[in-house]
Parts: sequence; structure tokens; C-alpha cells
Amino acid sequence: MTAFPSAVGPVSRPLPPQRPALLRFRRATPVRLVYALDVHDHVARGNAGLTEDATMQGDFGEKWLAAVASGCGLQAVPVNCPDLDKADVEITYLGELNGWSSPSIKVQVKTTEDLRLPAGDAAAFDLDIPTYDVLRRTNQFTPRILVVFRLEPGRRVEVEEQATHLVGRGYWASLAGLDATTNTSSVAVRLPLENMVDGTGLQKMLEDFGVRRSSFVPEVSPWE
Amino acid sequence: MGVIAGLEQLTLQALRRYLEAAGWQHLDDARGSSVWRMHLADADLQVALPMDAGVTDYGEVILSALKVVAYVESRSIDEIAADVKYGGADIVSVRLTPDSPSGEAPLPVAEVAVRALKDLVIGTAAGLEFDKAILPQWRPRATRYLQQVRLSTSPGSFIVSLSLPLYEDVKPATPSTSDQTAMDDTVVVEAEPFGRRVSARMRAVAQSAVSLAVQAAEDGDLTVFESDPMATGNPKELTALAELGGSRGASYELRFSPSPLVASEASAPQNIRVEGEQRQLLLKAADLLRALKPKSDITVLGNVVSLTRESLLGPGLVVIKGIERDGPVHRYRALVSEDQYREAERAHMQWLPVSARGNLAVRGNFLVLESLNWFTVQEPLGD
Repeated sequence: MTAFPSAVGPVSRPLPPQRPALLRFRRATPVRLVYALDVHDHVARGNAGLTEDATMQGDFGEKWLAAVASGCGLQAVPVNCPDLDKADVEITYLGELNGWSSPSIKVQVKTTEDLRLPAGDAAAFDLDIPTYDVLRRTNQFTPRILVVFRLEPGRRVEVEEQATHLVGRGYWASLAGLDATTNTSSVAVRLPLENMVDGTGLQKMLEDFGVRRSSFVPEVSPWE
Repeated sequence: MGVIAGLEQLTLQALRRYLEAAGWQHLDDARGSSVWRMHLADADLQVALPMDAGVTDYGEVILSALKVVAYVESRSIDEIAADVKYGGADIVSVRLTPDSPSGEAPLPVAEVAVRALKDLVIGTAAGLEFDKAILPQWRPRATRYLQQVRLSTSPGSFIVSLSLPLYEDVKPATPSTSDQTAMDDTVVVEAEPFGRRVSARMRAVAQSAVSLAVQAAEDGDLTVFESDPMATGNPKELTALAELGGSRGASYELRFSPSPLVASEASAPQNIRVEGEQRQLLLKAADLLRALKPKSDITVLGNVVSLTRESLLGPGLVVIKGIERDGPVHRYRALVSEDQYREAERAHMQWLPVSARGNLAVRGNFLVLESLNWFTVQEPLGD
């Protein structure tokens, strides 16, 4: 099991420039991660067969996405049936985005230390066939997006006095409309390097693929 | 199971029709979604429907949409879904709390509840059809309407719900070769659809039944149910309300959830609780109403509780609350002469018992003493 990482001292790293777009990643906002992972919960969700490390790593990716989305003023909600839906997080902007009210998408999150970065403008990730077949569908109301976080071996979170860094980088892509494959195990999917998981990237995700959804409201208890 | 399990059966056409009729404003259809808006208090709420019913997450999208509608209308998703499914329906639910897991009930309890609900629908629909406390055996309109009513169950603890369609399936009484109405035929269009009248009466009767039961428990006077059975419940309705709770002594809750598709005075949902002891009183009240039968040459002994006449002088109507022989206390109406009216006034003011003899008739919902032979005030014994 990966030990909870301790602070490794001051890290000199350039911070992302201020984004003029509607959604901005707030530089000074410390990102608080909750590491209270319930491995049994993952087993109950049907992740039998995965190692404890793998489930923890997968959960880390979902929390990373949720932290970035929340930091950009978006709502990030876990999906009820992630295995059936092939989606882990639903991201919604609770407002108007270029004239669209409450655009929403569902995201399937993957994490890997082996993201291939060939020369060119895209990374390549080996996606399992069942997930690929769901994500390439075009007959879903809420579009699915694939997010892959490239992790650094042995490094996850670096905590400084003024900031907490998530070590790695996330990329995303829409697989909707891609052709079926005759592969039996996995298929290499392309993740454009310009599609980063940051404020600009999430905004583009919602603008290009988001669908308007119904308002979030409290539950009604008719017998109360 | 509630209707939530069958959300995929709700068609886009039915949903759109419902939203429009319920006052939602259609914004647009674009990029796969049909968006509707409603302004509520200080917020704009949005409902998004898919434009294609074939999407794989159709049920999930519809559930999200119905959650918003349920919030606006203060109703449950099941109630909204049933309203949409039946093209406009008022929902009446009874919540029982049997000693069993949520969503389950012992079969005898469920059987009694279902039968009582059926009787409640018949009693209410027939009560609208006939202006009588005792309903005739032949109730064509009520029986026809009953065929349209749908029953469902849901957990919480054990809830049985009726979907009462707002509109009847009306078939022409006689076959005709033409679809046109003849020039001399009269088409009757009711101001309020029959289904709404049924649910509204059910709610009114339940409210008044509970209120009268509280009053009867305090005063020990069941004849309050005789004052106006058309408004306060006929025997079939009262018995049904008494039986609904299932096991003896158990209390239950009734919920009335009217559809917004037809506007009326009582448009907000309402819950009414019926306690165990009230159920017992309702049963007795039903028996009391059932005992109304015509008889000849009876003598009633009681007190004058009400007098009315249209002028300062002349004959008038008196109501005597009393008994005939060893029977239960009833309220008897009698048309009396001017002299008898004067006597009745005196008896009422001094609370002196009166005796009246005549033929007992049942007129509508009232016991009437006709062909009065005598009307006397029983004077107190001298000291």
C-alpha cells in the first residue's frame, strides 16, 4: 500500500498563468484532499480482482478531478452506478455558459504511470474494451468523457506551506462516434495534449460536449 | 412498487404535455435536449428532457426531471409520474404502519385496505351520482369510473395509492351512425371533471369525518353525522374510512395529491391522520345512518335543537333530537303549525322535552315526521 506522502520541502515550480476565461483555476486556493478511502466500498462496487493499490489509485484520480472541478467553481458529483455507467464523476456548471444553462458531462477517470507520450500532439492510453465500447456510444443523453491522469512513480501529493500539489497531469478526450474495434483486450486511445484537466480544459469540455440538465433540488418527503 | 420503477414507460409526448399544462415555459429544443423553465420564488428552475427517447440513460434523465417537478409541486416523484402516465390524475394514498418491513404488509391487512379503498371510490363516486344517504345497489357511473382507477403500492412503511383519472372514459349511451350530435341533443359539460369531483369529495368527507369524530367523542353525540350526510359522508364512505387502517385500533394517514392540470380550490396536497378511536366512531356513525328506514305511526321523544320559518308568524320546521322507542338517538325534522311552532320555541328556550307522533319518512338524507298527529311539550313536574 502506498504510504501517505509527506511534504518534501519547498518545490520551485511555475504556477499556471491567470486564465481570462469564465472558469479560472484559483492559484492561491489550497486543494484539500480527503484520503479517507474505504476499500470495502470499492469491493462492493464490483472492483473485485483489482489490487488495493489500484483501487486507491483510481479513487485518487476521481478526487483529483473533483478537486480541480470544485476549485474552478464547478459541481462534481460521484455517479451512482459507476461500473454500469462507465462514468465516475458528473461535472456540472451551475450557471450559464455561453448561453447554455447548467451544462453537464459525465467523466470516466483513469490513472496510470504509463501514459505514452510519443512525439506529436497527443498521448496514447490503453483503454479496456468494455469501457471503450461505452464511451464511444452516441446514444446517451449525458455525454461521456475520458480523463486520464499521468502519475509520477512514487509521487502523488506534495504539500507545501502555501500550496498542495497534485503530482502529474490530466488529459481528456471524447471517444463518441469512434469505430468499433476487433481487439479483445484493449485499444489505444488518443488524448490531445492541449486537452488538459484544468480550468480552460474543463470549460472547453462543457462547451463542446456538455448537455443541459435539470436543476438540482432537495428531495420532497410527502409524508413529513 | 411505486411508479419510479416504470419511468421508462413515460413517453416524451406525455411529459411535454404535462409540463405545458402545468405552467412550465418551453425554452427550446437544441443539441439533444428539450429545456423547460419555471420561475419559483427567487429562483429559475429548469427541466431538461431528451429529444430522443432511445437514449440509454432515458430513465435517469426523466428521474432528474421529475425531481424538479416534484419539488415545485410539493409532491412525490411517484405522484408526478402517475399524473403524467394517466394524462392527468389525482392521487390518493393511504399510509399504513403494519408490523412488517417497509414495503410489506400482512396479506389480511393489505386485503382490507384495498377493499376499503375500492369502497371509498364507489361510495364517493356514487355519492356524487345520487343525492341520498343510503346508496342504491345499481350505481352505473361509479362502477364505470372504478374501472379506470389504478392501484399501486410503495414502501414507507406500506403505502397504497390510487390514481384517479381526472376525466372519465365516456362512451355514447346509444350507438349512432354519425359522430355528430343531433340538433336537439343536449351535451352536458361539467364545469369540473368527474375525477376531480371524486377526489375533492373524498378529501372533504375525510376532513369532516375526522372533525365530526372528534366532536362526537367529546359530546357523546353521534347524530352530528346525520346533519348533512351528503357533505359529511354516506355510510359506505364512513365505513371505508373506518376500515382503511387495516388492523383494529391502528391509526393511518391519508394523502390527497391533486393534479395541477385542473385548477380548483383545494389545489395543494394535504395529509389527514385518522386515529384508531376515530375509526371506531366512524363505524358507529355508518351504522346509525344505515338505520334510516320509513315507519308509520311512531312517537319521538326528545328536545328541539333547531327551528326555522320564513316569517315571524306561521308554520315552520323544527328538528327534534331524540329517540323512538328504545332506538338510537336521531335527528327528526317535522313541519309544525304556528301554534306548535310557538310551543317548540318555548320548549327549546326552557330545554323542555317534547313528544311528537307521526309517520317516519326518509327524504334525501333526513328523517322526517310527516302527518303529525300531535306535538306536545312535556311540562316539568310541580314542586
